[in-house]
Amino acid sequence: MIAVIVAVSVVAAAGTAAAQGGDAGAGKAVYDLKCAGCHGEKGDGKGPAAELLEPRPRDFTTGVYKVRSTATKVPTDQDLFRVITEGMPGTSMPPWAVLPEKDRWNLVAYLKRFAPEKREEAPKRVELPREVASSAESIKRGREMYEAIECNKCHGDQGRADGPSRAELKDDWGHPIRPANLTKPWSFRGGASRTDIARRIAVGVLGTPMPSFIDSVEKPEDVWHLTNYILSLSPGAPRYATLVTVTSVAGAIPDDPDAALWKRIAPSHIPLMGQVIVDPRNFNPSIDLVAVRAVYNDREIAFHLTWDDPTESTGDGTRAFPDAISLQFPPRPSGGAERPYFLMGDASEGVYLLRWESGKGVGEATAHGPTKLAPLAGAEATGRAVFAAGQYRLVMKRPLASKDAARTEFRPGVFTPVAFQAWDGGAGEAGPKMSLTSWYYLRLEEPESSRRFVLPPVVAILTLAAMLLVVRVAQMRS
Amino acid sequence: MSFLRSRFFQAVVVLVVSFVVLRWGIRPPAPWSVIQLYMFVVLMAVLIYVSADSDSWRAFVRPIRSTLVDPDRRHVRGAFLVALPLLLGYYAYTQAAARPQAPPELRAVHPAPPASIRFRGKEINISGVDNPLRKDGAALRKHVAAGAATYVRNCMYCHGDNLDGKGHFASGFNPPPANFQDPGTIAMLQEAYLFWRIAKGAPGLPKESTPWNSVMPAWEDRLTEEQIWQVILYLYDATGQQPRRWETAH
Repeated sequence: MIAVIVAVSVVAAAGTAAAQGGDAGAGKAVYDLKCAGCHGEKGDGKGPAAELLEPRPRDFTTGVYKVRSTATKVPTDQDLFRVITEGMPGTSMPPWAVLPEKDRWNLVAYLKRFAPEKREEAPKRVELPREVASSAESIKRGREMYEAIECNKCHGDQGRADGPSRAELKDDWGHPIRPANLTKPWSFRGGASRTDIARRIAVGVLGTPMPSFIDSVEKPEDVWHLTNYILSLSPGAPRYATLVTVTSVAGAIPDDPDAALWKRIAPSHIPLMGQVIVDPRNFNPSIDLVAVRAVYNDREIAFHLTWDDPTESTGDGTRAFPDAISLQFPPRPSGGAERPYFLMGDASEGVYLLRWESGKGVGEATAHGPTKLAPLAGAEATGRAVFAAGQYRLVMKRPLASKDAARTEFRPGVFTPVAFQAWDGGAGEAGPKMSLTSWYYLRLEEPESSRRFVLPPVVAILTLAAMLLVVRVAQMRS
Repeated sequence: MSFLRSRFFQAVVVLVVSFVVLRWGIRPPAPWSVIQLYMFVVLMAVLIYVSADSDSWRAFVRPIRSTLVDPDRRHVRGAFLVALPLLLGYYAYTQAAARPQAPPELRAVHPAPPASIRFRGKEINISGVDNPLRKDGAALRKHVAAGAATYVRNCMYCHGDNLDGKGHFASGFNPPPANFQDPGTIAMLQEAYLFWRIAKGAPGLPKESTPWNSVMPAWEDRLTEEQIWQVILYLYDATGQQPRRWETAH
């Protein structure tokens, strides 16, 4: 009798496996075409692109997978399918939902062939405790656990990946690895849903220093308190902008980056990308986002920039360099489309830079290319930076007008091109090794006009008059 | 159900249905200016139809006239006199309160190529040239594989693993990286044109293509002539597109 039950369940198990099991042979064809460039033809993570990527592509021959929903080391087929389909945010693994579903299941079947001996143990899904909804108490409890199980050692006090152990972290292959910045859930490797985060805490990220915490927390439901705390760290989805609006204010503009004025202004988020045109190239930039706030009064324009940098660095001149950020403008915005080359200008046409560097403060420069910077004499710019818990907040101020032809003049209502560059000196970024943007627009908003309150009533009254006239004429005619 | 036979009601139904189909029935969505143009044509057609003979025209105008003059339609008339001015006033408000938008960036996507370029001091013809590696049939697979390796080490970060212009730096740049899977890119260009664009990059663009905006590097600084031809082979091989041939261009 027992034998029959076992036999039936084995058949049933084989049946479910076959239902989603792909054809490994067909998977190989897709793999060679789409995956081998990074993961290597042998699946050893040593494709031609591998050494440029951080984190490195997965080595399938070890059978070790970062994102899994199982208490065992072996992930389920569904886990592999999901990573292929949705990709891994914040890494070079893109979502492959463009491939037909069948191809993706075939890939799953093929991937398992790289480490057949690792598949002997049957995958077992982890049982999460009952979900705890977010509340002030839950977040408080989550914070206590965050300190108790020492999440802050790597992820930092405020979750900005600036913990003291950060520099020593290595993955199982000996490559340096960065802890996740918990204030940026859109870059969480295994997804940012509540269940995804709770699961990551419960089972860890295999092959990395992130362990399973389900047995280290006091009570199992603490993984939900931690999840609620982690989600409370994020300031919300970035508000990406293509036009930075400079708000008009009356009175003096504070130097202090933490002044109340700055909190009243909604930031524009600007994504930064690696500079890969001139050597040394930066395929894995450290700073990927800057929040920009800008105001002006009758005399001055001021920029408030916020960005995450895990290490405050003034540079030792060998491996670490000063942290820096710069705003780039054409010296004379023509209003037309033409402007200098986005990468800090070129020999024929230079750019004006309003920049800040740790240890030096705010300054101005002109550039004719990424290695040809010339500081401008006669400081007209001032400002102040604050570094706290893995984040810089900076105010840079400058007079609106300038007699110097090399300095950009700012006038209300004009669309002025602007570009951004940032350096994380602690990560070895200096000179051309930076993160940057191409051209965006900056516009000083004109003082509020009353047009929008006058025009609508005028239109409404004119319409009413015209309609009354039509009614009158029609009634007279009949 | 006499109103179903009313000319006026039928005209309104035709206009509403046309608008719904044009606005929501077409994928990808048609531009607003196109919808306006089509709606104008539909309106004209409806007016011609209802005014085909004088009976039809009278039937069409009757409900409008009765709303304007009949004493027992007072309330409907009043409602229109309030609603329409409010609606137009609101429209005026949305127009006056609109925030300024960044000026549009007009650029020629595929500018005319030069007849020849200087590549590391060597003259290379652009017009009339085919990929020299295609002649070497035996080594073709080797060249495609080498092109793939060059691609993932240099191009992938913007143009994407899937060659669809969705690399991980793509979202940060405007204009966005070219999508090679799109039949509007490499499939309508000759291989020599691609050679010019890869070798000279953004700095080699003519002014009508806004070279100051594009982040495409000039790859002659980094890749050899053979490597560029190999990458071009890979682009067509991996996407299944065919390059435009010179024969068909004449």
